[in-house]
Amino acid sequence: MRISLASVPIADYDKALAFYTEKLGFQLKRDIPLGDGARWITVVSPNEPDGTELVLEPNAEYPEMKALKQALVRDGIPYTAFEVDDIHGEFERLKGLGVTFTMEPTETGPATAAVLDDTCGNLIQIYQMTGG
Amino acid sequence: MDHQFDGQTEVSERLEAVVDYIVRNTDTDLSRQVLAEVAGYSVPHLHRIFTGELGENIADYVRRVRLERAGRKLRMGAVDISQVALAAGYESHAAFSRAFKRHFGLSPRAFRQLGCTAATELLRNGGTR
Repeated sequence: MRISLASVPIADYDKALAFYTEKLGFQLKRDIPLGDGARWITVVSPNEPDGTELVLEPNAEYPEMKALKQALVRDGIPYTAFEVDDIHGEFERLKGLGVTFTMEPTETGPATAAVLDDTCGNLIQIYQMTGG
Repeated sequence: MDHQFDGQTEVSERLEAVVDYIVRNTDTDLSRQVLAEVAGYSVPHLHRIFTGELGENIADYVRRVRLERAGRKLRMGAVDISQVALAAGYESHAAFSRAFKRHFGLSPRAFRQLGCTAATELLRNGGTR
C-alpha cells in the first residue's frame, strides 16, 4: 500500500491551480476533463515530479466540507502541511508574492512552522524539520 | 442618495483595506500613523471612523488580533514564549504574559499546558476581553 494522492478542498479549479503553481511553486501533473466542467487536476512538487500527487478536490461547496473548512480557518487550524528546506526563505519568497500568513515562522520543537492562506478557503502549514 | 451610498462604500473599502493590512502585517509596525496612511485618512479621522464602524478602537483591535495569533502559535506548539511575545509586539515576556492573561484569563505558560481541544475552545471564544 502506498500514499500516492493527497487532496485539498477547493471551489474554483483555475484559481486554485494558479495559487498552487504560481505561488506555492508546484507543477501541474494532470488536468483531465471529466465532463460537465469537472476536471481531475493534480499538482506535484518540482523536486519530486513522480512523488505524491496533490488533488485539487472540488468539494469545497459540499455543505459538510464547507462547514469544516470554515471551522478550521476560524480556529486557525491548517488543513494540511508541506515540508520545505528553508522555512524563512520560503516565508519571505511567498510574502513577496503577496501570500497572507496567519503565523510567521515559529519554532515548535522538532520543526519550525508557518501557516498561510491558500485563497481557496484553507490554511496550509509549511514546515522545516529543524531537529529534536 | 447615490452620493451617500458611494461615500459609505468608500469608507467600508478603506476600513477593509486597514483590516486586511493588519492581518497581513501582524508582525510589523501597526502604529496608528501607519494604518492612517493605509486608509488615506488622518489619524484622528481613522480613529473615529474605525471605532464607529467596528465598535472597537484600532489599538484594541490590533492587540486582540496579535494576542489571538499568539494563542494559536502556543496551541500549535510554539516553544519560545519570548519569541511569541516579541512577534505580538511586546518588548518583554512579562508584559506579554500580563496582556495574555487579561485577554484569555490564564498565563501563556498555563495556556500551553491545556489540551488541544481546551485551547481551541478558548481561542474560539476569543478570550475574556
